[in-house]
Amino acid sequence: MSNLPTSKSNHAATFGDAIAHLSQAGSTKEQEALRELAWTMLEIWTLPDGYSRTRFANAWLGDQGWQVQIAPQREMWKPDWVAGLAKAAARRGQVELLGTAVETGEFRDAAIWRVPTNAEDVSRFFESHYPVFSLLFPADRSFAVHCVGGEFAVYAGPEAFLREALPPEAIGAHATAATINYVDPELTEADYADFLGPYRLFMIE
Amino acid sequence: MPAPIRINEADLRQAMREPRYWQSGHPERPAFTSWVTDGFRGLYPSDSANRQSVWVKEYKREGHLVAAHWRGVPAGSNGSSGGQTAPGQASPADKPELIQANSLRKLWDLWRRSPPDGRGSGGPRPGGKPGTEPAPQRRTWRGQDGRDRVDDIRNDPATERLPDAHSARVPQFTRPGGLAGRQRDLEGLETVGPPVPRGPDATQYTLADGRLATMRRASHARSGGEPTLEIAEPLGNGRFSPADIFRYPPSR
Repeated sequence: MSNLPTSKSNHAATFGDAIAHLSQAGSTKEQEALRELAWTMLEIWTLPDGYSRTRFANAWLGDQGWQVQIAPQREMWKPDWVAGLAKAAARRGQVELLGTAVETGEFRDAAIWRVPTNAEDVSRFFESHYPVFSLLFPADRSFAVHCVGGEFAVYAGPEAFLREALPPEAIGAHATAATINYVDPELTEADYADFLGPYRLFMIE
Repeated sequence: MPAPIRINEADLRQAMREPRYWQSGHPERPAFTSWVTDGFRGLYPSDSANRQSVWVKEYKREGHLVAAHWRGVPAGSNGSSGGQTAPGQASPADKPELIQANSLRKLWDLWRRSPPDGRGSGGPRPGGKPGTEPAPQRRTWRGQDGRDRVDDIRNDPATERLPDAHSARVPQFTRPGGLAGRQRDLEGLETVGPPVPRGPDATQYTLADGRLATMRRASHARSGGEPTLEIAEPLGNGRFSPADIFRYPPSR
């Protein structure tokens, strides 16, 4: 695990050492401010078993005029797969992104990492946060990617950005169905209805 | 114009569970199995040609009833015929409503492609249908006692492999005992150092041989919060590759 200096070492822990070379985003206070930027995009929902999770807030998606597209989280470990995301962000002048775990309760105050906008580091961020819910976004919050454990990556932003960030065949309802099938062939969209349902209005068809 | 039906592999697999597909002597079996078979052919053409397939419901053409059928779109036609779209065939306006088998194929091909060091989803495995590829070739791991403790769990007679449920092509297995069973298995592994809590239901352990063990719970509605134990193998340079997922359903 990474063991970078922080007052709450568990909150900076990562899966493996994939981002051990990256730095956290400033002082504790600066990180708090950046964390709040992240959380204003999210809402908390609670599963029937009582566990609370995060997802993009419909209010945020609606206010920003964003759309969403689902992809498999485990693909985010591959530099080839996230190259489009890194390029689309770089084209918009984003030289650095911010990444953090977005879990609830005692795990809410996770470290914010500075992630250079290149495929290698972006893929390393997603790999290092795979067991948990996480968020990658630029400081101006012009788009964001929210990951659901090792299952889904939810790309959110203006439609033009999403179409640049993902291959054409990974956009649309058929790609969402394929993603669920890829995560587990035994499951369908109905099995994830409580999570995916609120995104229905914003999904690219 | 007939109402188009969007069908994917999950739909076809669901269809295969119907008595019409498997019940010997069922009056609709020949037609139904043929429909499913053709559907798979449409999704995964053997020659990998650049095409789409759509399921066309029955419709009337010049007063005559045209039976429902699968329609393959010729390579390069992009779903239309010189600007004229035949009934049931993909037109730009129809696309969201129609199965886009070629797009799916491209997606699977993309997802199948992994970095050469094997990280991400277990390494490159060209060809084969999703969910049915053989398990990746494994590196040998040995503890101080010469045993691979994870292998012991994998080869335990109580372990059942899920043959068609590779989560992103990571082999999955079920084990008995629910939460207690998972705890027992974890205690059988050689963990070093303290556990690292990562979230409300995610805890990580480092094994003596450098692998990582992550305890989580499945998040989809059907799982009932099923506990899981996931093993990942180090690839060097701080990166890991998922190797096994053990599931502990309460029903076992």
